[in-house]
Amino acid sequence: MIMKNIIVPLACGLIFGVGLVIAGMTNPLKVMGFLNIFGNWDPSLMFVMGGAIIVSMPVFLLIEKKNEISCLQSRRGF
Amino acid sequence: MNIVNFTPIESLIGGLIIGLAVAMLYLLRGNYTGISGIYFNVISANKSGFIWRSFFILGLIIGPVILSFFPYKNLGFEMPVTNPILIIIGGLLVGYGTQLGSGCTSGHGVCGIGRLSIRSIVGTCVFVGAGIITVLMLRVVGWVSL
Repeated sequence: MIMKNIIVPLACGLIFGVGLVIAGMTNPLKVMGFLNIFGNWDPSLMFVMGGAIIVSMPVFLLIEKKNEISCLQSRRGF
Repeated sequence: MNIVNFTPIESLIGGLIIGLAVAMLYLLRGNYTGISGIYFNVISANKSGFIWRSFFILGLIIGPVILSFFPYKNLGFEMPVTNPILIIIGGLLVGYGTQLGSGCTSGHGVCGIGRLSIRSIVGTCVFVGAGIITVLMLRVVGWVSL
């Protein structure tokens, strides 16, 4: 319980926050700069989102597929 | 269009680290990392999942605090909007909009797109599009200098 309720979320939040800082996304200028396409544009946010999706997408899709299969199998069991 | 302040390498590395946190929370707890939703449930004192969400927010705050002890060039905070009333209104609108739209940049933009949710892909296009129009309008009236 301590693992699931304290250590895992604390570590994930910490890593997420460190990622935000390194990506420069704690700076409002960079976030608003991304939206300023018709002026001085800062495309950095696109790279942040892209990087995050590259890592998380395979995990989401694999686990969701696995859950779907186990659901089908449990249905087949009835 | 003029490209400025572009940090592709730092931003990509930061993005990969964010993706790691998102993947870990999903693998180890089964939750999506939607910051606006996590924050909303903490400040509205929702009893179910209050502990893990509070510790996530705590981690989110202490991560950058720890980093601030290291000399790091990107730890800048530059606010293109100077009027404090505009900043407060902006914050309130972000909170209201993310609740209305069931997610923010992390929830829809990373988790939702990551699991190929149509609602999230549409949502992300809509809030980025609305943001682009808003910044353009604020620049025209001179409330933001970018």
